[in-house]
Amino acid sequence: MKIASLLVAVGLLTGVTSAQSQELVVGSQGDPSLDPHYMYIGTNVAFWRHIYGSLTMHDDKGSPVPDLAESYRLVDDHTWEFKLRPDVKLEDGSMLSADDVVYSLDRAKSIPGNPSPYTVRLESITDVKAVDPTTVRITTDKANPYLPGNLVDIAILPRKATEGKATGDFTSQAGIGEYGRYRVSSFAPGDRVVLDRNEDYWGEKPYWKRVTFRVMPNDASRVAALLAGDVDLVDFVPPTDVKKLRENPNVAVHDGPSTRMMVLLLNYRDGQIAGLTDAGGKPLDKNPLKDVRVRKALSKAMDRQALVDRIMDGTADVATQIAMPGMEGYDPDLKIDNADPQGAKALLAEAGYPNGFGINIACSNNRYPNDARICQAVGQMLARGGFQPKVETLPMSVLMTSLVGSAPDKRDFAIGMLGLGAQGTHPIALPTMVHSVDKASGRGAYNFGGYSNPELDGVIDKAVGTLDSTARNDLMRTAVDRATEEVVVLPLLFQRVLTASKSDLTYTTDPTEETLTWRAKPKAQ
Amino acid sequence: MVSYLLNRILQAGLVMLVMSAIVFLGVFAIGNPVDILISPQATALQREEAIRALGLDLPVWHQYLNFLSNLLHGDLGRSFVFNVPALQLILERMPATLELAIAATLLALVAGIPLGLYAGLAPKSPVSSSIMAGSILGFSLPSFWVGIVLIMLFSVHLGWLPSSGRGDTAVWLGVRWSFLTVDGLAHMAMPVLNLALFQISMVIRLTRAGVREVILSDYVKFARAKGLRESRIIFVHILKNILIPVITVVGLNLGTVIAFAVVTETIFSWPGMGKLIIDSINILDRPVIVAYLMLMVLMFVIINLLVDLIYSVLDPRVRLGAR
Repeated sequence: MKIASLLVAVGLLTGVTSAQSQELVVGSQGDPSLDPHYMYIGTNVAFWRHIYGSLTMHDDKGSPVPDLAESYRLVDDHTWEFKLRPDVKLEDGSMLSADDVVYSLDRAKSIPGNPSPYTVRLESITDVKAVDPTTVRITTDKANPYLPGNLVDIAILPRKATEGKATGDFTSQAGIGEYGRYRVSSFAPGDRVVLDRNEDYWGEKPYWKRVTFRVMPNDASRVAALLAGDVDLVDFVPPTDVKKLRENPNVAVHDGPSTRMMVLLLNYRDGQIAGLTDAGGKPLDKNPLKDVRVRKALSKAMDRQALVDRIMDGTADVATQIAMPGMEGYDPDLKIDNADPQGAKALLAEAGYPNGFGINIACSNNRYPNDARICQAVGQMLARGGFQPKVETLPMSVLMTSLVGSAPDKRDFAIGMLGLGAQGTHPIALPTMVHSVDKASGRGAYNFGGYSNPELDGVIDKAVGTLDSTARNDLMRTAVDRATEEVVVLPLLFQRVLTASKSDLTYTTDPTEETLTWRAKPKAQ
Repeated sequence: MVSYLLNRILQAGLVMLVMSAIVFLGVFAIGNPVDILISPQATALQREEAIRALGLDLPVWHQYLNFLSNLLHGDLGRSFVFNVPALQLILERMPATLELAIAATLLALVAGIPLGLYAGLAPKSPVSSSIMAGSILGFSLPSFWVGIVLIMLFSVHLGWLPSSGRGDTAVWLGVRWSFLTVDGLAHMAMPVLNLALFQISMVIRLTRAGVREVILSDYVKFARAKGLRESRIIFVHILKNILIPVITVVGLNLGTVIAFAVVTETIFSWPGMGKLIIDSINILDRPVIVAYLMLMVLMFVIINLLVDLIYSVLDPRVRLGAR
């Protein structure tokens, strides 16, 4: 017992000193890539923001604001000009220059064997030129109002330190040429990354002198580590644990809106679909989902509030439309159908299916918080609304295979559930899920159901190429309204970002779900 | 002997080849990694490009042949997630797993043999009954549940032990080890116990069964009749004879513990191979999955070969290759 009490005392002591010594230990879901141009996923972006910088950064609402670029402006419809800060000091003492930007925008595109390249943020760029040491001009093939927003996610690397270095070199050398808020002090892959504050950082220096990211992909372990006091902050708290954590006086839960929308995709393919059957289990000859009355019935059958309250324990917001409040195109006047199973049945009867029909719902069970439970609840709601649903919960990899299928005309899902995170200020579902599949423009990449509405396409195309923000917002809103009216997809809910820390810390979450440690501060007492 | 060895090596090669085909087809069937990894904002064209860059657009037999030809050059592919050679990635994580597995096996022997011995010698005592009941629990409780309970008890409620991770490490032979530092040992305690629980139960049962059998044999009775000290009878006549099967089973099981420390490593965020393989399966990091399974097959093949060879040395009645 003596040893025990001693250990407890030591634990308490370190608990006190960790705040005073300005050291923060984060239990992090992701295992970061030290090469900021390799593998575009949110946890990687959040990590490199600690050690590098980008021309622009997003504010709390997701809108782009200057960062390494002190200002930016449109020169003409196809050219953006970025003016660099003169005071960004690199590791070797030299200053960041326009040439580093040219180099970085090119490097981000050319990492070999990259399954998730950053190229998605560099689309439409045809030329990047250094006009003088602090001015960069970027030319696009079409008017692109989202360029400053896109560059938020492209890390700028110093050419001198990193040219010719491969992804593996960043790992083996534990970071190369870091000039951001922190520098990598040590890196043990799969275990931890230790960052030390960069005293030469050009901006406001973060409070924490040392930040350690401990890699903990398992949700239960991460939460347990926080409860045990091994870490000061954990990201991606599972919604089921939130209630318990809120009751714990030693822990503070920080939540905020997330851009990630849980949405149901519908299959619009002609011909027989295995996921749509009659009462006897035979595929229907005609696809009932092409009838807007049937889609409206689906929407009426959904009790979104119950999903938020019961399944997500209140850690989500009802999605009334595919845009979230604050986004371009959000229509505050739009109301979503209240749960109305009788109305759904009536609509079904009107469409010629008085006894409903068999409909498959395919969801992931390992990708999003509570994904399988949401799916089962959706199944029950559809059953109440007069459908004969069949719920399939699958690992994400298998779900994607069934959604993508071997070819578009062989896709056999009826309803598929995905979580779509918007990295930017506009509802990303419009160009990716609502717009028809168009290889030339790259739109409709997630339109697995093959929905096609030329009129809506026209509005979306026009909107994403409109530089004037008011006009663009109006066009976006028109598209959101039309998509809602047509029930192209069924938005269910927006998740919330859930982060938890020791109770003596404050933290502001970010809608992109990025964990940014400089936002964690000790509570002023 | 030489022909026997050659034969075995050929057999092993064949097993590896068949295994590689099964693994490759299996992983291929799970899905396309690009679908999971790529940003939702990627256009169809960018997606196709990424798929092509990784060689995933080729038909499965073509991909398999590419894989085999690379394998002959000692290249098991590069991890999609980390962009480093898969083999290197696995070997880097191996010491952490080995450390855990060996410690768990030692613990199983150190704790299991005395307990089993006691249970065998005094089968009617209440202590023995509780040892045996405990061993049933050790067999049947799922290890992920035990792991969580251990964390809840020792880390969250009592605050004695750190909940996860490797802790401080010290470098020995160019590799980082946890067992060389006090902090590292504290981090090892719970995962080792968690991993060893099944093994301890098994050793207890094996030892007890062995003792019950041997204690009735003529030579033990004779030793008693001769008036030898009880301690000499137990430790020389009984223990020595029951150790052979115990060591055999525990040794063979070491392979399983190394290959499937997955659950323990995941719960305790132990950065070993098991955690790597689970993470890789979740994001379909194909090269790592295939390389890991190939490596495990190789390990089992080698262990089995060694066991056969050692048997022939230990027991002259076993002749290798003789008909």
